[in-house]
Amino acid sequence: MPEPWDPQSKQAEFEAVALEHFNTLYSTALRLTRNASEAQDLVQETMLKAYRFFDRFEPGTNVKAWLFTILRNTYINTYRKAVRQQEQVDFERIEPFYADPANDLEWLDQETLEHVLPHVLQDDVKHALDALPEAYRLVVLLADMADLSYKDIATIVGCPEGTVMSRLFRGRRLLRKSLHEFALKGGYVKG
Amino acid sequence: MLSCQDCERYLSVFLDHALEVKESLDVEAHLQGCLPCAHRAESEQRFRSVVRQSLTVPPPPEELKRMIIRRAMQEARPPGWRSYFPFPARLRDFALGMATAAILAFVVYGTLPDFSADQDIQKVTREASLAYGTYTRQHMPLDMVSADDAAVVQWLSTRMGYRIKMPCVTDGSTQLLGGRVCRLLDRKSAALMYQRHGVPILVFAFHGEHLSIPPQTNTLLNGQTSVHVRHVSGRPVATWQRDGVVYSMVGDVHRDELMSMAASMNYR
Repeated sequence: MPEPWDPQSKQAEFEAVALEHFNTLYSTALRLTRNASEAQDLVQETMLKAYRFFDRFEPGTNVKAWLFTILRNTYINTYRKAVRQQEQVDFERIEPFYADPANDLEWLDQETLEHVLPHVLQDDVKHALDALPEAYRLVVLLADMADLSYKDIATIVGCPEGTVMSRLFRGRRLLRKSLHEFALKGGYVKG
Repeated sequence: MLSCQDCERYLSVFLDHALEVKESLDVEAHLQGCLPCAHRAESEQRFRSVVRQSLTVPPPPEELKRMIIRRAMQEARPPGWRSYFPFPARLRDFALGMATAAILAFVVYGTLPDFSADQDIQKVTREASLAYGTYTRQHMPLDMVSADDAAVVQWLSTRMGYRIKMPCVTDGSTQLLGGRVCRLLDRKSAALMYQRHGVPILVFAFHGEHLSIPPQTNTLLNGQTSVHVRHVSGRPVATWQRDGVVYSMVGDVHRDELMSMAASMNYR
């Protein structure tokens, strides 16, 4: 028979888990909502839901992926619905475009990237990321900022690993393109 | 040996540590022997690290983090019995409860609750059942623990601020556990808690002169008081009105059992 859950130990255990992942959840929430107070609300709402179901969480499974799944769902259901509905991506339309090698651009070459990187400003990266279609932005955030595996991202986003792989690839490529454009505008590299 | 074209194809996944062992070893071997591809890999890694550094924000102060987590834990507690004592339930949780009850009613009875019926009786029965349902999941804290009817009723009257008559069950198989003041329909309500064969039974009482509890001709109590019985979330809720006070009795028992208990009540 399972031992009854002691409310105090549940609180302490949850607090430790929540603190451990707080910074990454907050950074992700901030890039999703683009607003500090909304990011705090999103993290708090995520924590609230996580705590509510914490006793059903199976020890040994990936708590980080679980927290991010809640964050992502809360964001989609609460925040995006309110402010960003117009940005939803039609993947059937957009994915074939980026998958087509004919649409690959010259900016991909390594030499250009090498020239661009030293001039990239923190704000450029933020703006470039904000400009990405949402589903690309989310996988880039989950992979490059939250350090999650393809498998975890697939669970969080609710799509096959292959789709994660291709969205990530295309998301990063779009990001590089934007950064290149910023560098061009700033006159750091020649067109 | 992997070609440069293949290496380029695998590179991104390789750097994400997501390649199978064999492919990963192949890419590694290729990178060791191919300078252009090794540079490509380095520049890709630099790009990722620039992205990571730019997006990682300074963490909020430790105090703020703890405050957010604690506030979340506090709000996450199930709406629970406690939320009826003395604060109203969160609107959203309440709405969710209502929706669930409606779906359950639809599944169990094949019909939705009669929303055209009087709203007062709906509100009373739903809130009584919701409060009861929450209690069965959590321990209901009693303000006064006593099996003495008269003492509990007197104590409740003091807390309510007026002399309230409570229906006390006297059927021999039901024991009084105690009482407390709670909120029902957003007003102060007295509650008695009984136990019958291990099943908790709750009786709520509050002033509701302006509320309309429609009579049901087939459910007369002691041949006179008309009792309205409804099933909410699968359990019967008996509600009636007497001298301007609304009474609601609820328990996870059969409707007939609830009615027989109600029939044995004496007002104190």
